Amino acid sequence: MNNKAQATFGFAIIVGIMIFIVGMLVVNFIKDEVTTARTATVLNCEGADISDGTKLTCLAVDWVVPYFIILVFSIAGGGIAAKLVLR
Amino acid sequence: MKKLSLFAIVLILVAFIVLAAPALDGTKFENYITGDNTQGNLQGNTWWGQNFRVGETVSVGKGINVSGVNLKLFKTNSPGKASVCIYTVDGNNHPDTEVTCNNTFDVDGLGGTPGAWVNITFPDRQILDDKTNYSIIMNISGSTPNELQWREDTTGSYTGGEAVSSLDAGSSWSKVTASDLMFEIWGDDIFAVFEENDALFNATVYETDTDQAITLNITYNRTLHNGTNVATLYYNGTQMASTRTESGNDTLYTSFVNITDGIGTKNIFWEINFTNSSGIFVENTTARTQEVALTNFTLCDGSNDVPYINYTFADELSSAALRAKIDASTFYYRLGAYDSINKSFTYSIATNDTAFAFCSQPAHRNFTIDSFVQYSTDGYPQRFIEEDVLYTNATTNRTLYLLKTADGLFVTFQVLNTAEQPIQGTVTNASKSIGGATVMVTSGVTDDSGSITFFLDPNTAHIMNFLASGFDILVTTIVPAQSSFTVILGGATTGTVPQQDLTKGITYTILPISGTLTNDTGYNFNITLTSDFWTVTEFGFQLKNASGDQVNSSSLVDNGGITTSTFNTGNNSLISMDYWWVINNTYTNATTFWNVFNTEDSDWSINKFFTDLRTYVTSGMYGLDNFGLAIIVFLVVFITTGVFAFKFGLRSPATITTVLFGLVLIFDVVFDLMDNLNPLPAIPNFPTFIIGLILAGTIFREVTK
Repeated sequence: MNNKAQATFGFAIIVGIMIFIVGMLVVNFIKDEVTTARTATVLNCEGADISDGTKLTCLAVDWVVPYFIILVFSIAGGGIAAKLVLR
Repeated sequence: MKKLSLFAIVLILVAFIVLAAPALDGTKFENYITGDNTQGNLQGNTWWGQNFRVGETVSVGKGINVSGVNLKLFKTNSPGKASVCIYTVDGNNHPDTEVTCNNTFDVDGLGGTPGAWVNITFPDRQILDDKTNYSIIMNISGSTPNELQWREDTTGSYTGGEAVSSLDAGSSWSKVTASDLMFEIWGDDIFAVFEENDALFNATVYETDTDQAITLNITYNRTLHNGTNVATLYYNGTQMASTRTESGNDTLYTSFVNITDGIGTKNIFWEINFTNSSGIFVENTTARTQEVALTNFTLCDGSNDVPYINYTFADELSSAALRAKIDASTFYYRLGAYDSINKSFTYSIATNDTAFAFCSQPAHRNFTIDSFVQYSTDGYPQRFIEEDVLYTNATTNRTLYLLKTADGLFVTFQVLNTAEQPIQGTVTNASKSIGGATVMVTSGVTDDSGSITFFLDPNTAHIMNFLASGFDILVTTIVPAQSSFTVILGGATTGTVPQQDLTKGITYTILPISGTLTNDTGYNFNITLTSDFWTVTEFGFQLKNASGDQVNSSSLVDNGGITTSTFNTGNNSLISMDYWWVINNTYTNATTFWNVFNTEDSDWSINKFFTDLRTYVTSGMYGLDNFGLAIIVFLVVFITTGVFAFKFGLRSPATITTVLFGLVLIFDVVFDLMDNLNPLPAIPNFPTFIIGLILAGTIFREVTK
C-alpha cells in the first residue's frame, strides 16, 4: 500500500468512526421516539383490539431501530472494509 | 449647784457605761430572769453553771447559732478574769465537753451588789442543736475574798435544766436541782433547710448483694435553693453518688450500694449540697444504720442445712450409681448480679461417697454459683465440670458422670482464631445423650495455649459448645474418636471443625434452574432436600436482593422435603438465595443467585419485532395466521438457501445443509417462529433438531466419502 492508499485508508477509518458515533447518537433519539410511538396514547401496540393497519405500523416501528443500527454498521464498516479489502 | 452638776456627771457616766456595754447579736432564746433571791459564789475551784435545753421555752428552728449569754452578776473586791463557756452535758446532765468559751471576760469592771445583767460575747460562735441539753459554766481566776456572784433563785422554776456547781474546778459536778441561775441565751435561729420525709432501704442486706437501693425523700424550698442540689450517700464512710428526681418541693435521691464490706452494722447518712446564688450550703441528714448479714455456702452441716446442690455420681455408659470423691472444687458464690462481687469456698475430700450436698444461707435467697469441681473414683479417671448456674433452695440434684479408663479417651481441643492464634478462656463443654436426655458430661475453660483436654466416650457423638469473648458460639457434633481436634472460631462467622462434614449424604435441588430471571415476574423459588446420613432438623432459604436485604424466606422443620415460596422479581437486578440446613444445632449454608433481566427498554429490539409479529399473527392480521406465517418462514428459508447456493455457487450438500441449519436455527430457536412447523410439540425446537441431525449425517458422509 502506497502513501496515497494509506492516507485514503486512514481517512476512511476516520469517516467510518464519525459515522458510527453520529449514528449511535441518533439511535438514542429514535429509541425514545419508538417507545413513545408504541405507547397506548399513540399506536397502542400492546392493545388487544388494534386494527390490522396499526399492527403493521407497529411492526414497522419495531424494525426501525434494529434497521437503523444495521444501516449504521453497514455504512461505517462497509466504507472501512471497502478501503481495506477491495483495494 | 455643785450637787446638781455631780449628779449630771454620774448620769452621763452611767449612760456611757450602759451604751458602751457590747450588745449581743441576734435574739434572746432560753432564759430565766426572775425570782433571784440569793447568788452562787464563784472563786478559786468553786465553779457554777446553769443547765438549759434548747427549744424548751423558746422554739427554734434547727438550732441556735449562739452569739453570747446575758448573766446577772456582781463582784466582790477584784476577782480578775472569768471564763464563761457553754458545755455539752452527759447523761447525768453534768457538764461534759466545751462547745464555745469567752476566757477573757473582765470581772473587775462589774458593779457590786445586788448585781446587774451583763452581756458576755463568744468570739467563736457555735451551733446549739434544738432539743439538746447544754450548760453555761463560769469560773474566775481570783480567790476569796475576790469573788464573783451569780444571782440565783433557790426555788427556780425553769424546766429546761438546773444549776450545777463544782468544788474541784470542774472535775466533778453536783446538780442543785431546786435552783436556777439568772441567764439568757442569745443568738440567731437556725432554720431547717429541709425536712426528711422518708429514708428507705432494707434494714438487713446480705454479703454479695448488689444494687441495694437506698433512697431519701426530702422537702425543701426550691425557690430559696434553686440550684442543682446534689446529695451524696455516705455508706459506712464511703461516698456514693445519687440520682435525683424532683417534684415540686419534694426531691427523691436514690443511690445503689454493693455490699462488699462484710457483715456488721453500717452507718448511713446523706450529705446534701443546697445551692443558690449565695453559694452552697451543706446539710447532713439523720444518721441511720443498716445490718449486713452473713452470706455463706458450705458443705451442709448443722448451722447451714438447706441444700442447694446435691452432687451424685454415675457411670456414663451404664448409668449405674458410683461412689466417688471430690479431688478439688472451688465455688464462687454470690447473691447479686456482678461476677466480681462474690465469696468463695473450696472443698476436697479423699474418701469416696455416694453424694455431697452443699448448703447456702440465707436460705430464702437464690444464689449464682460459679463452680469448678474435679472428681474421680477408682478405675475412673478424673473428670471436671465448670458451671455458672443460678440455684434456688429447691435442691438441684446434679449427677456427675464418670467413664472407666477402658471406655474413654483423652481428647484435646485446641481453639484458634482464623489467624491460627490460640484463644484462651474459651468456655467449652461436651454433652451427649444419656437415658434419652442430653446431658453435659464435662466442661471447662481453655488454657493459655487455647487447649482443653476432656476424657470422652470415643464411640458416641457429643455436642460440643465453644464460646469465646468476641466470637459467635460454635456448636458442633463430634464423635471424639481421635485424641486431638482443632477448632477455628471465625469472629462474626461460625467457625468450623475440619473433621466435621455436615454435607455428607445431603442432596438438594434448587429452583428455578435458569440462571436468568425476568423482571416483574413471579417465580416459584424452592429447595428440595434429602439426607441419607445426618438427621436434618430444619432447612430453608432466604431470598435477598442486590443490597443484601432479605426479601423473602421459607423453611421447613423436617428431615428433608421441599419448602417453597413465590416471589416476584420486581425491579431487582439480582436475587440471591441463602439456603441452609440444621444438623445437631449446627447451621450449614450456601448461596446461589440469579441475574434478573430487565425488559423495560426493549421496545425497539429485533426480539420485540418478532414477539409482536407472533402476537399479531395469533390474533389475526390481514388474514394471516400462524400456519400462514409458517409457510412464509418456510419460503424465506427455502428461497434464501437457494439464493445463497445460486449466488455463491454452492454445490456441496454439506455446505447447503449448513446454511439451511443456520436459517432454521435462527427462525426456530432465536425468533421462535416455527412452532407450527413442529410435528412433535413434545420436543421443543424439533425442526432445528432434525435439520441438525441431517447436517451431521451429511458432514459424516462428506468425510467418509
